[in-house]
Amino acid sequence: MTALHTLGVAEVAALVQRREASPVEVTTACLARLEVLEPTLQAWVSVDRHGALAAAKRCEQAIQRGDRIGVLAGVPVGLKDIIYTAGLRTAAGSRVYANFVPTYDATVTVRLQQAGAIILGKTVTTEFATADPSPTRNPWNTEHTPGGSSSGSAAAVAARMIPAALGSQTGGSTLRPASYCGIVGLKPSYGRISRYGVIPVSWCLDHVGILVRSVQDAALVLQAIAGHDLHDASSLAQPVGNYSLAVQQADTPPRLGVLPDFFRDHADAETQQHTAAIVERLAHAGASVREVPLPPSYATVLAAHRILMKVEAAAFHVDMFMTQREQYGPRLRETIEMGLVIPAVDYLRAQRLRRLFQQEVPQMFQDVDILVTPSTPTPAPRGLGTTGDARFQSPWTHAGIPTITLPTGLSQAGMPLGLQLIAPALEEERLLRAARWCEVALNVTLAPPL
Amino acid sequence: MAGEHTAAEIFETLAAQARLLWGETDAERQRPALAQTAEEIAVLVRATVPADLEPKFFA
Repeated sequence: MTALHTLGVAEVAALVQRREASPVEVTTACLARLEVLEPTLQAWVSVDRHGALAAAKRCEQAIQRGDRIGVLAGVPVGLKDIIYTAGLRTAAGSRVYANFVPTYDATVTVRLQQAGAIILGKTVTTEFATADPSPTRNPWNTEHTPGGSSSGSAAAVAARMIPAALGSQTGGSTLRPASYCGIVGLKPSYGRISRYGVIPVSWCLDHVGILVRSVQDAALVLQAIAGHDLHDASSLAQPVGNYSLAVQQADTPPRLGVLPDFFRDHADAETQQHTAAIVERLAHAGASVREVPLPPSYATVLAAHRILMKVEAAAFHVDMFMTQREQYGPRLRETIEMGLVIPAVDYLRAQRLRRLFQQEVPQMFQDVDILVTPSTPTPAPRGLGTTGDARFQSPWTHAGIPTITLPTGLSQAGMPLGLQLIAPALEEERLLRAARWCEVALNVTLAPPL
Repeated sequence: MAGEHTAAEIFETLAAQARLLWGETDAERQRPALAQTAEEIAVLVRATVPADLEPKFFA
């Protein structure tokens, strides 16, 4: 039998539902894997061994009673340490929040629990989900960054400690670490997943993200946690799609749009060649491919994104920052300092330009279903001094549209490379369908040599 | 930034604000970040925004 810790979300859920594996067995297997690898990878802030095993036991008893169980029953998950967990420390990678214990759960925490997931603990985040690097190592090569800010979530899923984890994305903090670690990362439309109980970086840009090892698993987790939340002012009221069904209907080759300008010019030669070869393979498998120009307002996107993030981060942190400035890491400190001197009129200009970009984005999908780019300009950089470059994700986070990264192969140095797929706003079903089609066509699953 | 169109002009305004907030030494330390922020604002200032386009924060 396959080792339980290597199974994905759908596989664990199916085994548990058929009573071929117990939630306690699965949780114990993941905890054992975690204990072996954690000293090397440093992906976890806290592991709630007792709470996880107790939850697994309750799940097991419910199954034995014949109770109706959730779609994630018995599936161990990790939560990025900016996501509130009642009674469990949520330190946000920060000295300022070092002893913070929330009194309530984030909506995503509640929804995962309602779906039967077993919360193993809190995964490492960079400081307040921004740019100061974390100690987490890349499972493919511990001399390389796993990316950030969802560093621990990506490393833990790639290392087969857990089948799924939640992260967040304000710029590229879910897809980038997912790509660097060779797994699947999904960021849905803005507002699709509640942000209630998630420590913010920037209210208008923050998304909760999903880190898993297959498109089907991404669909399952999204299905469990998506949906309107009265506690979150930005939560979408639109109905949630049938994501699990969408990935089962992935027979039709998508019409792919490639972006020739910015994304080609800013990737290194190896990433460019790899992406071109992957797109060729997809075309050979039946996808149509055409080049799509960037809209005029794209020229302002990265600048506007940075201005919004700096000002909103400063607005959130200002009271703490004024009294505990020395407790902040250098990059976040700089972000806040800049946010405090940017004039309000420039912040509002950035918001208006963001809206202009959002209005122009649909033109890019006139003749294609999905846009594709390399997930990152390069594979994971060597060293832990940076979490890498978010510029290939930031535009789509800025627009609030759904994106996913798929692992597509390894670089010459043995580090993962990925393909980013981008869909119009609210089109998660389209995105997942196309991603599943590409996943089948490419048939690439990466497992680090641990 | 009204009336200021070059990154250099914007930088001077941001640096003055930083000096007021943090003092000369800290403002000096912040010079590279202030220069980058000024470049970003300059990009926004150069762009044309339709007069009737309102911001939308949660979307």
